[in-house]
Amino acid sequence: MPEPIVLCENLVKIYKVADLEVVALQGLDLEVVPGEMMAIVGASGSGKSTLLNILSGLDVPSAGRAIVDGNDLTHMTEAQRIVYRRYVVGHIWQQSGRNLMPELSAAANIELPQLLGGASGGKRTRKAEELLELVGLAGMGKKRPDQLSGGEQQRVAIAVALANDPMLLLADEPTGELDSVTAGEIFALLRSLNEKLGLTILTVTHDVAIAAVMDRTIAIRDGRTSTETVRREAPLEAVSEYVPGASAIIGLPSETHRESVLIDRVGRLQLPKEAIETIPFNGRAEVRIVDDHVELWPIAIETNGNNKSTGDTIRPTGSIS
Amino acid sequence: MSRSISQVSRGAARTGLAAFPSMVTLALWQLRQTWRLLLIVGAGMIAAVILVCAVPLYSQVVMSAGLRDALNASPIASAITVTSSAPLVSQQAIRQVQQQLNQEMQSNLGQFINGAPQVSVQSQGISINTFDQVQLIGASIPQVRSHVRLLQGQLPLNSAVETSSCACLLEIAITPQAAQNLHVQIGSQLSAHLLFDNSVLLTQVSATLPLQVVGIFEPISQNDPYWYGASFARQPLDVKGSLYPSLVSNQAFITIFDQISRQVISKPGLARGTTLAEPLTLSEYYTFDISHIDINRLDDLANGLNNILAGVSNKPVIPGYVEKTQANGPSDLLDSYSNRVDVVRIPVQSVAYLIVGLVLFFVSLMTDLLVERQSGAIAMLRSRGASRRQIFSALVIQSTGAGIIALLVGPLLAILSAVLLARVTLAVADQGALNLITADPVQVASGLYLSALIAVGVAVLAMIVAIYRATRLDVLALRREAARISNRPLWLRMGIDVLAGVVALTGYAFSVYITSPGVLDDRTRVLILPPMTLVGAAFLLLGCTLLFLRVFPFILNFAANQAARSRSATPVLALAQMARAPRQSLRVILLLALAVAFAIFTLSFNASQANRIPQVVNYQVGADFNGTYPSNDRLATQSLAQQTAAFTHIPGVTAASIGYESSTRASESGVNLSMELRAVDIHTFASTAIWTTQDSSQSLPSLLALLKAPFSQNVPAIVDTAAWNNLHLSIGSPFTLTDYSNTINFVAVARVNYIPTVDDSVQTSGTNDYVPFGGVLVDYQAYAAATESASGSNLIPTTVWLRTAGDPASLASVRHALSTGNTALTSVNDRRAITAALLNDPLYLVLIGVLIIGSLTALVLAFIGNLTVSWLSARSRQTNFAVMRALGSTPPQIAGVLTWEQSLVYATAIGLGIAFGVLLSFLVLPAFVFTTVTTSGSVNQFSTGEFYAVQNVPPIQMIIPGLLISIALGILVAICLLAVGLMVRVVSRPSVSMTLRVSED
Repeated sequence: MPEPIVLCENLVKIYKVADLEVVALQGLDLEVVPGEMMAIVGASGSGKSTLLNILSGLDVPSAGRAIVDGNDLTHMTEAQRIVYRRYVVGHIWQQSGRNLMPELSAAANIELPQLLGGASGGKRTRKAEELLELVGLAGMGKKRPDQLSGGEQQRVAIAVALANDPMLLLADEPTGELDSVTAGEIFALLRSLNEKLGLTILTVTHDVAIAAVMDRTIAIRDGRTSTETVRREAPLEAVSEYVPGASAIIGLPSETHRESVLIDRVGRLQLPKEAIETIPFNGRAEVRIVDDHVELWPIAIETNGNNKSTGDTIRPTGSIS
Repeated sequence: MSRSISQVSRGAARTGLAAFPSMVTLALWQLRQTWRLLLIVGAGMIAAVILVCAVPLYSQVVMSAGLRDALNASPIASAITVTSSAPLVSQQAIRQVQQQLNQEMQSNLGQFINGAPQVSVQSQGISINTFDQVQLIGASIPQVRSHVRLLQGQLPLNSAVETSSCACLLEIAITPQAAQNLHVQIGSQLSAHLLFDNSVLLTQVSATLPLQVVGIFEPISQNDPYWYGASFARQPLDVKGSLYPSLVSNQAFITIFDQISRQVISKPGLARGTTLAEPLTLSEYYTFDISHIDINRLDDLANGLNNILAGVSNKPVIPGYVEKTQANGPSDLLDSYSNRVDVVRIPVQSVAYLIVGLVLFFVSLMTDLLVERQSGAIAMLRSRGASRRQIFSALVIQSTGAGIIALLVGPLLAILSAVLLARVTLAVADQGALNLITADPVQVASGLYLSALIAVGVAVLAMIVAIYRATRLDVLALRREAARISNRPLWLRMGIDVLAGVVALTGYAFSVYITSPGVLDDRTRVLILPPMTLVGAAFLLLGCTLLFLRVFPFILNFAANQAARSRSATPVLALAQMARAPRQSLRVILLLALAVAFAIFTLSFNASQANRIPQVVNYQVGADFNGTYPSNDRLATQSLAQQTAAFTHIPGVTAASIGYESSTRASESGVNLSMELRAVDIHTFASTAIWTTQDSSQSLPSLLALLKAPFSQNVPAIVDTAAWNNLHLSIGSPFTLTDYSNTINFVAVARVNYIPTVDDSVQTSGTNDYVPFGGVLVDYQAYAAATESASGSNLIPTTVWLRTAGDPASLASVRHALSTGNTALTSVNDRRAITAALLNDPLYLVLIGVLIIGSLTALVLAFIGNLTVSWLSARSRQTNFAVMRALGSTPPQIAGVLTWEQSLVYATAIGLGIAFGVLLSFLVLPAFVFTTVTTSGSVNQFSTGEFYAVQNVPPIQMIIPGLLISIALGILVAICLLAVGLMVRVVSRPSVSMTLRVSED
């Protein structure tokens, strides 16, 4: 297995707002291998944007480890962070206003990160032309953002993010403001860049269609990585009765995607919300290791410890193989 | 393959000078976004530079014009006069003395005087017959041509004429009157008899000087300053004869007298001790080169002049030929002008600093806006890997660029402004002082660069502080800041408002202490109090402003809560918006409040200063006219009624009063205190004098009635507060004054605040000059009786006070009568003329000019700042309003919300501004209002001590010009309405869908 380009271990981020402490990430684990194209999904407030901010070097974790391309984000100086943002990661935000300078042309916008890196004028121009061609906007370098469509603006934003040849592209709902056709085009572009350049892409999305074309989709719940959904090599003809019809958070069909619960190095996992709602665990479960799988049994009130209860037998809700 | 940061940073990050071009490129790119606001910031910086440079430049021109006026006022003031006595005449000795004098003048005053002095050699009367004498007045004939009208013949030749009959002949020109009386005509010869004394032999020797009349002339004007008081009019001698001044050539005069002197002393026994019986007078007039008189070199001029006066007196001396050298020059005038300038400079500079402060506040405000407008871009750049230094450098390059433009353009515009302002405010005759600027504008501009650099430096520093704050932002920080303002302002964290309040109160207590009697002398008080008061007031305003900033959000929250109970959505929305983000509102409030405060202060200052002029002049003159009888005036010996009648008969005079003024002495605890005495005719004085409620709450007639009451042998006296305190008096207290050698007993019958024309002070003056310790007003008749009883001689009146009609014909008639005939007076003080002169006094005009600049600046800044802030605010809130419209708000409702918001902002700003303005006026004005009056009622010129005393006598009245302030506020309200209109237009122009679609965030 290749060395992960992104490695988060027990990542914690706590914000302080007035006198309140908000735990945005509480022990998140994540591994992304180079060249992977991965989506992060989760409900609002689950911590996905916080994770992206940490990975982009804009925010500092409160505890845990976050290593990107060999750079430990928990122990970086301000100067190192600047270089990190400049060369190691590229960003695309949802709003084009955050991605592009409205007064500058598309080419000048692409030149800007290179300018910050001290690249010479000729080199900047050549690179800008290359990138414009790469994103399918050759010859449109002189246009200002307000003269471009939303999709074109996001293409320029991708070119801007790639201006300094980063290893990792972070995208925060890059198609959030686009129609489905344009969004598809953008992701097709991202996929093509991923394949051509070997670029690792990490994107936050709420779009099922987008998540469906990703190599891997990680769901974050309450500040932790909850499940991982991977596209099956071939769709299933039938799904087991014990398996949900679709993945929990983003609803990818189980026929085409397999959702698995993530277990961290010390064995912690998050049960799917559906499981908790269906089976009354009351905060605890009995673990039974049976041959090739692990069973979780709810502990009923009547349970006396020898597995002989007065009520009905409760079926196991899940097992870990 | 992974790239660690150390690897990439080594290869790619360029630092130092190598990164400069990229920073410049970044700055230029950012300029596309910021150029409009940067233009306004640049304009603010240029305004600051113009103010910083134009105010001193304008002051220099106007004060120099005043100084030139003062020096031009009389021939005596416009030159340094060096006179020597020449008992014997030697051309060589005279030349030697002149060379020494020229050297002395050049070394001390070379830059201020014209090259060659005007020389005049004059004799005393020389007999030409039994009764008549001629006085030879030498002049440079080429120079004299433009000052005489030649009626016959020619002007005397420059050289002596040798004839066959006489070894030498001196050509003279005489007046027609002399020609007629002496029965001579062109070509006639006169024999003048020169007498020489010999102190060794104690004999007198006579020599004949043949004079030939070559011309008959008359001076162009009797008052021509060229003659320095010399007159060619016939002067009667004691016996039958007359003295006829005659014009001769200096050169011929000296040559012939040299020859005659040598002939006389060559005679046996006369070599030693022989001198002219009446020595000649050598006069040299070194005239000031007015075009080089500059207020900034006043000290050099005064020091050089004092050196000359001290150094030249009694030297150079060449025994027997040039002796008793004396130099006279306008040193008193320069001292007096210097004092006046000192007094004027304080308010002028303070007002200028206030204006500059206001401009810098404006620059800082605009910079904040500039940076705030760029915060999104800055955050994006930071997120993309721009270092703080890169952002900072790019923005500083922009600011510095604006600063450099301000530095290049500002001084030139300052010169232009100063010239224009001087042309508007100065009389045409005074505009010659503009040569200080126009003679070498490049040098003047280069001289302004230090001030300009400081102004630009402060402005750029303010920008750098704002930029530095902004460079901390990245995308994340920007989002957080937008959601909730987490950083408390520095002043709030450090409690600077409380500190400023403490400093202000301490300062106020200190100023109360130092203004209490006996702590500071008048001079120190006048010079030190204004800046201290200003600093104290500035701290108080700072404290009040910060306190306002502290409480304003609470007020808004309270108002928002109250509004939430009402049924109308408009005020709720307006207050909620303001309460959520009060920063923008606070900026506009502060800018407008400061502009209003400054406008009120400048208008009040202007009105109070303008009011001070008639107030002081009324006090100094005490009537419409006052004047002193010439010595031995016949009219003064007549009865009071006759004298009064002589003046009341002058057309235009409505009332006249005759009295007596004297500087007397009182003895208190063994110390002599000078007291001014005014003995007035109680029957006519009340209808003649100008007496205000400031002088006493009791009316003048009722006060004068008290003087009639018999108090045994003592003269009833009304005493002013200064005398009352210094002599420790109470009603009925007896006291004694010594008038010359007469000791007169008085009894105090009333106390008044002030007695007009008495410039007294409770404090010491701080100078060694005469300043009376009090004033006493008595009945003339009672005082005359007491004087007669004490000395046996009659009291002769000294002073006349007149009340006149104000029409030009009456005034012309009175002025003519007081200068000629038996009603002629000396030291006439004309209240209206002095008032008019003071209103046109260049020193007063300096202040007016600066106040005009100040008021205009305040209004322009309020206009630009308000419109800019409103425009940007409206643009930044377009989305909010579009959402409101999408939710069903109508455009009138949106306009209503804006109007509510802006009305609250403007009402708060104007209210706060009025409060600040009135506070500033009350605190600062009493220390700032000054007078440059130099004429008093009792003597023609103030002493320096009196000049400082009179700055607070009578007490300064503060005038708040309601109408003018209302007009200024009206203009501001119009600006505010314009701003509201602009905002409504901005938010209602685009369609809702468009606004929401193009919205950036």
